[in-house]
Amino acid sequence: MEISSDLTIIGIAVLVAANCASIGVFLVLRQMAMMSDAISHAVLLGIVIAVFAVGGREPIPVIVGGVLSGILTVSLVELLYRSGKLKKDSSIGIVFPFLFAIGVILVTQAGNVHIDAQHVLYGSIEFAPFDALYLDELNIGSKSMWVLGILAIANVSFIGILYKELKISTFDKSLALGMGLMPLLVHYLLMIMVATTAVVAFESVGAILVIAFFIVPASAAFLLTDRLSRMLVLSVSLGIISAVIGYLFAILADVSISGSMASISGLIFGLVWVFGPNRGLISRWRRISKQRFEVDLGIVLTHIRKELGSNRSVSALTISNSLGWSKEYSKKLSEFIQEQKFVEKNTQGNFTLTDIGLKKIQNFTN
Amino acid sequence: MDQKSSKKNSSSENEYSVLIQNLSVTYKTEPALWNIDLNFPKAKMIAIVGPNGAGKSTLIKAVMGLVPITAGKVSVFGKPYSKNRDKVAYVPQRGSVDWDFPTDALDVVEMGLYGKLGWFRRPNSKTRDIARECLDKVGLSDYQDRQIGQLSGGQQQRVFLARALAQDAQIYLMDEPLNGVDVITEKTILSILENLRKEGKTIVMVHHELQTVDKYFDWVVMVNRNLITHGPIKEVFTKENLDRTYQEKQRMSI
Repeated sequence: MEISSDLTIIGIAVLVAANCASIGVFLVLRQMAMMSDAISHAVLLGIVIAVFAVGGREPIPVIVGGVLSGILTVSLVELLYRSGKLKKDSSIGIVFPFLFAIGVILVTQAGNVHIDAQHVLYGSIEFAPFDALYLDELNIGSKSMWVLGILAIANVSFIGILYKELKISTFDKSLALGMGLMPLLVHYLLMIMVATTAVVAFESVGAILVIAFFIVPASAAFLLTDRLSRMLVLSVSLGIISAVIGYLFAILADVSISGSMASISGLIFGLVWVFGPNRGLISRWRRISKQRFEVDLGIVLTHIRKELGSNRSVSALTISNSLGWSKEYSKKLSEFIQEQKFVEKNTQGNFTLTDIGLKKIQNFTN
Repeated sequence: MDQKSSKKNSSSENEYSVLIQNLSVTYKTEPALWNIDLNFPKAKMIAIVGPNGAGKSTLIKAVMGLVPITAGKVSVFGKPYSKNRDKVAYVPQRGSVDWDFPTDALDVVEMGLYGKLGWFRRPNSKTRDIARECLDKVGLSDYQDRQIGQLSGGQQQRVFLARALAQDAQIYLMDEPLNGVDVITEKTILSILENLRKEGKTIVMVHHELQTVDKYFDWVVMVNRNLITHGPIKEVFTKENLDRTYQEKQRMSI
């Protein structure tokens, strides 16, 4: 029985998304987004060297090569950064283009070896279903699907087993160090998982989509929750949703599959950023303007008290004049303080403070 | 006679929780601490004072091996720190962590127990209960589910103290825990620490406010790259020693 190629492609995309989005949570929390960018590109060098060495794209040498060049990238960045003088982002910006560029040069020399730069950047998920794995000449499905499935098990185990260690070394490195929980070792293990994920995912979807899946769903999840465990679940879910919607859109609009998936993940992030329940732009803006209104209310009420204390009369108009606020806004505030019974109007149309109003002022000044 | 001297040795070992000998720490070529000989006696509230950049934080970090030691050695209850990790609790400066991290107050306190759990073992209902107890001691039971960034500065500092309490240590190394906290927090922290001291624990605190030193502490370490002096407040916390500590530039005394 043959699995339809649509389902295979969606399956591969979903696995890439889940792998990247789970490990990506720790990259985002450790402020290492740029590092994932660097690793995702620099693995090319290791992949190409491995392909040359064994004369083909066998998964295991390719993964080993990619991971080694990923570790080389991290180490070189740390070396430059620790040597003083250079900032971390500059160190990253120096190291990975260099390693990537050497990879590109080697690729163009490849000749008969089946690999090219186009494939590396944009991936070739469209053709993944045709790269089948055979067991005793029996087609057991797409090779990528198998490799990604094993990787998913590895990533879930890694996060599951070292959850506590990852959490503490991310949140408070010095405490982890003091407790003997070796944050540096945890850091390098995480980098190995990032590099492995990058190499494997890269084979199917290319460098750009890998970075998108590492960073974008995790960032959206960060805006949606206050718990690390929920952030992991949300990040993976958003990654999978982006992959599925992205695929459907690509088929309908007849555009690049990886491009479409990356765009959809960006779009989802945008929606969360604007409409997110607590940390979204709108709800933050609402909160701030509400607080702003409270402050203005305090200013108006204390102003009225001061004016009445020196026997001057206060109305909406004098508020606008003395506080330098627009007539409309002063009128709105004046109406509000009357509705709330903080003030009453006397026969001349001037304000007098009520007991409720005085109490409100006390709340402000305390 | 031999016996006598060994007896004296063991008694001096018992008196001190931390013994620092010939300690020097340099960052690249910049000396941060120079040839420090110092001990932290047991059951004392110890203040570390000195100007900015005098190496106060470096001193407590060096005890825990958080900064590489250039020369000398540190022992905790007679052993290297790595053999006695569980006897030391650490409260870092508040600014050293990311308060936007997706975690709540109770969870942070529970992290104090990760060291005792060791590698791979997961927190459980027991560690949760201990964490709850410690959060209660600092008066933050009602805030256990609050995301840590939504706590006030004083509350954040108390969460850190609760985390140190969860470590259930013999020595508490604290980096400016009273910096910028409200009055209630300051009182809460001090009364908890006083109780710990009565139980025989050693409290070592980097402290900035010189006015409160003689009120809160019974021992002081005055440092400005070199050790100026250390001892009971009454004996060493004098104007003359303060002047020496806060002199503009301390020459290295070799």
